[in-house]
Amino acid sequence: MGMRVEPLTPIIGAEINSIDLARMKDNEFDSLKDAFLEHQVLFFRDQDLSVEEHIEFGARFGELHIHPAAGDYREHGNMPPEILRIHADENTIRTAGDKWHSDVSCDPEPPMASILKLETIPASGGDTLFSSMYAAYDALSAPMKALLDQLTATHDGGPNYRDRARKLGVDVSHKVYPSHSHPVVRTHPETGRKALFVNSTFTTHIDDIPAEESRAILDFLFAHVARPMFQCRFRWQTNSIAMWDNRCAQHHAMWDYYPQVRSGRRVTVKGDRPF
Amino acid sequence: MSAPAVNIDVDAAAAAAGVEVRPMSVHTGAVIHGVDLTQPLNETQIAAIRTAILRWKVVFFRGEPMSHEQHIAFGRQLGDPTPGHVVFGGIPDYPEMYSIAKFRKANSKRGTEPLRPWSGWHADITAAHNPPSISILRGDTVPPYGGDTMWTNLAAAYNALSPTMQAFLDTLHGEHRFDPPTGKSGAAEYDEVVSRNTMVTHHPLVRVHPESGEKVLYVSPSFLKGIPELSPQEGMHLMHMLWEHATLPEFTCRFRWEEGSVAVWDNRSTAHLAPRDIFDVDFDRQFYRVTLMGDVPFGVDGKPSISLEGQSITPVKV
Repeated sequence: MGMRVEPLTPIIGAEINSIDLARMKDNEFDSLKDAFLEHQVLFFRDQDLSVEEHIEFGARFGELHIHPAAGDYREHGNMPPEILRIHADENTIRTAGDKWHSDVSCDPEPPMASILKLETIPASGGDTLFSSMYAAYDALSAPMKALLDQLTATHDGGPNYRDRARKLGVDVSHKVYPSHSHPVVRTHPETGRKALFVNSTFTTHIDDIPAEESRAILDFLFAHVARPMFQCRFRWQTNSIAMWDNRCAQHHAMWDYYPQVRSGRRVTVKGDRPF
Repeated sequence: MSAPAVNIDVDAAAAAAGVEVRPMSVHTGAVIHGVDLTQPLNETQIAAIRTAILRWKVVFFRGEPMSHEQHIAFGRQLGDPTPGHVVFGGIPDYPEMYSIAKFRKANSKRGTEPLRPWSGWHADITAAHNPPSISILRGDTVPPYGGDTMWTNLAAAYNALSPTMQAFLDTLHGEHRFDPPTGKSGAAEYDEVVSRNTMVTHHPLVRVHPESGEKVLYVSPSFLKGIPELSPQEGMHLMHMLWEHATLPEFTCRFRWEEGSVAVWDNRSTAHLAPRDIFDVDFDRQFYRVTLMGDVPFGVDGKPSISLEGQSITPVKV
C-alpha cells in the first residue's frame, strides 16, 4: 500500500500516512514532492529518524543550509552543522519563531524547506501554525496586488537574532547577520504561483517609499497574513515531523507551554534567490 | 518643503486690488487686510480674494462684523449659495444661512465612536454628488478663548506622498456617505431626517481642482467610509494612513476667532476640524455659515464622481 495524503484544510497542510521516511523509494519521493508543492506543509507521525537519517532525508530535496545564528547558543551542543537544535524549557527566556515568519528570509537565498522533528513535547500546547502566502496573495484586491507586485522590501536578521542573543546573555557584537531586499510578492520557482513574501519577524521596511507609507502597508499585510482563513494548526506528538515550504508559507511556533520542555531538531534545505 | 503644484500669483492680484495677503503658515491659511466685506467688492478685489483662496486654501478677515444680509451678499459675489445646510436647512427668513450653535449636534450625540487623531476632520457635505466649493463662516458670539478651528491643505498632503503611492491612489475612489450610523441610535428625530436625506457618492480619491488643476487627496474623514476597489481591510488601513497623513501639523493652520472674524475656505482642497474644547467651558459660541455651489468632482483620468444615492445640491433661488 502506498502513502496516503490527507489534507488538513483545503488551503494548506496535509498529513502523510503509510510512509517510512528512513526507507523511502524513489517513486514515493516523487509523490511526496508533488504533495509538498500542492499543500505547502506536510506532517508525518511516528518517524524516529536518527540525526544521520534526518540529514539524509533533507539532502534528498537539495543542498542543506547552515543557519546564520547556529553556534550562538548553548543548546546547539555538538551536533553536525546541518542540524539546528530547537529547545525550550523552564530556563528559556525567549523561544525561536514565536511570531509569524518564513525561516531566515533575511538570507540573499532564503531556505526552500525546513524539516523539524520534535522528540520531547509538552503535555499540551506548543502547536505550530502555518499560513499560506498563496492564499494571502490571492485574497488581495486587484489594485492592491498591482501595487505590491512592483515593490521590494528589506529583510534584516540583525534585530531578531540580536534580541534573542541579548535575552540569552550571549555576546554577538562581533557577528554580522544577513540583510537582504526581496520582492514583496515572489513567484514560486516550481509552481509558478505568486506568494506574499513579507513577514513580521524579518521584514523591516518596504524599499524606496517613506517610512510612514511602508509602516501602513506592512501593518496591513502582517494583520492580513495572520487571518485564520489562510491557516492550519499542527498538534505535535513525539517523533512527529513537519516539513514546510518557506517560499509560500509562514509559520508561528506557539510558546504557551512554559515551563514544560519542547525539544527537537531541524534540517533546512537551501533555496534560491526570490524573484 | 515643495512649492505648490501650480503657479498662482497671489502678490500680483493683491497689488492690483490694493489688499494685503499675510500667510499664516508655509502651506495653509492667509489673513487678508484692506477690504470691507460689508460693501460691494470690485472685480480686482474679488479676483484677489479668489486667487488667495486658491493659493492658501483658507483666508481670514478680521474686524468685519456682518449682518445676515451682508454675509449672504458677500457670498453671492463669490458664487451661488446652497441651502444653509443640505439636510438640516437654513434659518427663518434666510434659507442660505446655516446656524452653527454650540449645541446644534446635541441630538446626534452617540458617544460610542472612539476618538482617533483624525476624528471630526471633514470637508463640507462631501457625500453629495456636487459638494460645495466655498464655505464662508463668521463668528457672531465668540468665546474669549477656546473654540479655534483648524484647516489642512489636501493638495500639499498629496504632494508629500511618494510617487508610488500617488500612482496607486490616482486609480481609486472613495465612498462618501451621509447616513445614520448602523448599530447606534441618535435621537429619533435626527435619525429620521438623516435617513430621509441619505447621500452616497463615489468620488475619485484624488480629485483634480477645477480652477487650479492641482491634485488633491480627497479624503474627508467624517464622510469617507470605504474604498470600493479594495477589500474592507485594505481600505480601512489605507484610509487610516491617509487620514493620519492628511492631518499632520505641517499641512494645517489653526485660527483663533474674534468677534467679526470671517473664514473663507475651499472645500475642494481642504478639510477642517471644529473645536471640541468649547464643551469644557460655559462660554457660548454662535457662528453662521454661507456655503456656495460646487461642481461634480473629476479624477486624474478626467472621469466624474458617481452618485449612488441622494439628490444633487441645488442653489437657493434669488
